[in-house]
Amino acid sequence: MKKFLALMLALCMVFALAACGEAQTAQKEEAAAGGKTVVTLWATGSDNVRQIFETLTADFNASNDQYEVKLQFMLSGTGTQSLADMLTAASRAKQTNTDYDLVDFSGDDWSKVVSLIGEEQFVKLDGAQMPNAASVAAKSSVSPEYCQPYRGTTVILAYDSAAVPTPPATMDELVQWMKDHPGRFAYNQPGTGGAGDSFARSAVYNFLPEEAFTSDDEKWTAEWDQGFDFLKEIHPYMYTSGGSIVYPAKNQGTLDLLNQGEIDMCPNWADMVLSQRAKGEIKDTIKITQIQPALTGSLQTLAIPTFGSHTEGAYAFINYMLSPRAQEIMVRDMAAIPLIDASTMDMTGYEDLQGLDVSAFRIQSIGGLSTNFNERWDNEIATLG
Amino acid sequence: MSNERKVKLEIKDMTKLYDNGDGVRHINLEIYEGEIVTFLGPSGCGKTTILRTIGGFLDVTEGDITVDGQSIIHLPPEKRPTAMVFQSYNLWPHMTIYENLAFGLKLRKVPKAEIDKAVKDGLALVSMSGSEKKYPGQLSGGQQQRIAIARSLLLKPSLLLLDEPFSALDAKIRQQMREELKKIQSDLGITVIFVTHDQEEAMSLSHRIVVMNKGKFEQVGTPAEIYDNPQTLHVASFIGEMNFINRDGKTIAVRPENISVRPGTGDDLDGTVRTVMLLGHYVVLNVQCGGNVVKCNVDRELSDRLSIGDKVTLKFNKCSIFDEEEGFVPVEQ
Amino acid sequence: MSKKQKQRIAAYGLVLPAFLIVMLTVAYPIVSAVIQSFQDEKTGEFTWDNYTYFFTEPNQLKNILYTLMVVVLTVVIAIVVAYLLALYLRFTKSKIAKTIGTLYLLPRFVPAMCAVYAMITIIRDSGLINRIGLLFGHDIHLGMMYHASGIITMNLWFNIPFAALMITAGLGAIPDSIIEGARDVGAGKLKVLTSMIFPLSAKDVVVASTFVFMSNVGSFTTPYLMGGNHPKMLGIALFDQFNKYLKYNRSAALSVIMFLICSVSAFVYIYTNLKEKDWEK
Repeated sequence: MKKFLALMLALCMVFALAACGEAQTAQKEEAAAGGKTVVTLWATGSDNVRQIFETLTADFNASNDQYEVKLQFMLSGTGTQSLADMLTAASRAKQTNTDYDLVDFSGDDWSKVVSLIGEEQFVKLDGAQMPNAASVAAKSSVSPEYCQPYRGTTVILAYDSAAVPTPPATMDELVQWMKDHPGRFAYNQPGTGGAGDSFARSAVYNFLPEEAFTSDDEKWTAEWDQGFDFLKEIHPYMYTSGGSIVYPAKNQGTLDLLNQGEIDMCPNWADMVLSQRAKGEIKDTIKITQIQPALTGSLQTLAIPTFGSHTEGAYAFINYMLSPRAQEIMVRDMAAIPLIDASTMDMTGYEDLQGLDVSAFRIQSIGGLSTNFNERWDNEIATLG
Repeated sequence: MSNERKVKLEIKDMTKLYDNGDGVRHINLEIYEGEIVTFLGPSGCGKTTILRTIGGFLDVTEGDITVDGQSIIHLPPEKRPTAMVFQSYNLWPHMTIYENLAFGLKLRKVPKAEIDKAVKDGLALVSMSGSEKKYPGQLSGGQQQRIAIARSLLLKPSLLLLDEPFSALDAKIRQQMREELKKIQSDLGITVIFVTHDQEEAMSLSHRIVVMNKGKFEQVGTPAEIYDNPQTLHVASFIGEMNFINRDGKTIAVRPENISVRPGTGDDLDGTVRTVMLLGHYVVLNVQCGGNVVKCNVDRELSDRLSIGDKVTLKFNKCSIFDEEEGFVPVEQ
Repeated sequence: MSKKQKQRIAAYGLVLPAFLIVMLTVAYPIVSAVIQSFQDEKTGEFTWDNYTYFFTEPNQLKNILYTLMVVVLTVVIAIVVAYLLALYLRFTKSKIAKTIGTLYLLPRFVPAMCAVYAMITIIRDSGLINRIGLLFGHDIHLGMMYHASGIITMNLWFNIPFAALMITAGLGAIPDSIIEGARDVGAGKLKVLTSMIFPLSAKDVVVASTFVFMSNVGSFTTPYLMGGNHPKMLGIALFDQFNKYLKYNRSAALSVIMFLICSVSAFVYIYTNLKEKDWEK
């Protein structure tokens, strides 16, 4: 009996080790195809992000004869260890020469990693190594010298131009429009999608000093009251179903309502609206506009960990990502907002993007306060009925 | 049957067809008050179909059925003056024996005291007194069928219909049940229609038997008539033991007990003794007559004088002759 | 080692993987969740606060009552409809009944997400029904989206076939002769239903009810996509506590509360299964 138990335990441990081992064996893989140096790119996100990265790396590999970029993609929401956690672990274990050559970060992930391991764990970027970066005006709000933005997207106001010929240009005009058209506006529940988060937080933080927008200091929560009163004030004019005010779940929830004609306007992500419109999934009459003060956006950045192996190769790929060719691929495949001069690119079908000024992005990062924010919204706004 | 007897049930040119074309066609039958009539036949011959049309569980396609002169074909089962005992699973498993028996009476709003008495009497009638509080699952198959009969009788039906009620029981209990049923019937004087595929059961129980085959009546008569004068080959073969001898394109049907055997040659049929089997008070001889083996019942006195291989001659005291074209020609010699 | 010992070891060996998996994936999380539910979020000390929160906070209390209302209505309507369907399938021998008999399980094979989205496109205020209504000049707004009625409708789609499957099996086990016997002694159709069919299928109804109840207490997909913002089904409330507010101890307490609600019906289920009626002995 004892022997058997021991065997079973041993087996369990073997499985457990095998699971851990996967990450380690992946680490040093030097064998290069056709004598090219292999540069490993780590990225995370939804499946459309994986597709765009596969397209881009394939394009890069076809044209570059010095480096071969290998994609390590982690699908978000699959319950695996997050990329930020893996980097933190590698850094704390003082590993060197790992295959974390180049890492793709969203704004939130970047702030998280920087706060966990510090910006000095990344290479301070040298413009000379990536000439295309010179024409990029956008800068990360956190540790801008250590990461290179390569695409952006922002929450905008999506509206049905058939119902709203002249969309509001400011928050005040928007509020007036809501009051004139009760039930025709909706934002998704904060916590279920970035568009709703952005709208609700922007609405609250419009009453706070600008510095609060990028602070996770608990003191700011005390100043939310005015903003929440504003959300309560506009509440009666929101979308209604089944006799009560409804905030749909997920970004797609409001976009569906807009597409079905149940509402005429909602905040949403520019890339989401435009790529769905380009694919014919939503009506052509749906257009986007930005209001003042702007809803928040985010920049996607690339950074080079110091504990990686191929800094030059990483620079080469960043430089490629900022080329008109790569930028155009991102525009066409995911309606990303280009960060370089778009005049040389074919923007047919995505003209709306040109009106969005990336340098005017409001980037918000309130860190852990978002949890308190969502809970308060759920308790105070959702329950109004 | 004498014409003064009162007709209880009359089936008039009744046809019942199923979707697949099976069924019974153009059935005519009168059943008299206080009679036990058995439908006898192999499975699938339509006997249960007729019983179920009488009970109201099947609609008739054409024709009429009357009880005491009143047509019943438009009545649902619960409104018919009939009571049916099914082959098995007849009692309601979630009710005690008392509740099973009282159910029909309660529906008729019989006062409680009367129900109690009726249940008690009913159980006594089928020798099951004292089982009121038991559930059907706690009784044997024979006991359950007795209760089922009691339950049907409590409602004093004009007609008791029994659909192979004893077929799931073993031989000894089946014998007892038959006797009990016959006793109850004569005590109460009710009319009973019984369905079975067991010819012995039919013979022992019935006043009249209806022999059926492939949806048709082959013969209707008393057990003696059917036994002595089978009108078709099917009846002849279905009831009792029968030898069939082919001669000149005709079939002679003769029962073993109607054959006289003597040593030698010259009577109706000559042959040699093949086997001799002692069956108690009589002996069965198998005699090889050309291509046929003929079974004869003889007494000990004769069999003691015969041994295998002996020449014997057979004389048919009573036989039926069936002609393939003309049907049957009963011959008594 | 004797032969007997070897056999015993082989037997344990066969059971052991299942046992370990159950301990690891069921017993351990339950125990740790129960412990966590009594711990203070910050200090880790024993506290009832995580539980009192759900029963004193009016919004949370509403969530619990709302969930119970949705689930009980689902159970009642699903069982009644399934029972009628099962009766029809059991006692009608037409081609239509046969067709329904083959098709009624189909919803079970449609993936939950597809079914929910399909339902949404039909019942939403701008959905199929609205569009059909517009053809006839009526602007119908069902108001079922983001409303309990929508969730219940969706639950019925999932649960009626399941309940009907169980009840049909139960009714199928009632022999015709029981019903015919009752008709024969004078019971009309209604009386047959109340005196024979109901008591003989009561157990299946209870079992089907408990299953429907349990599977809906913690439902997530349907209320997430079709439910309103407040009150919320407990599955969503739990998601909020865990994923949105990161209140792990409260999440544990809410899990335990949901477990207890389910265990009421689990108890009913086990009780009906273990307790043999006198007539079933």
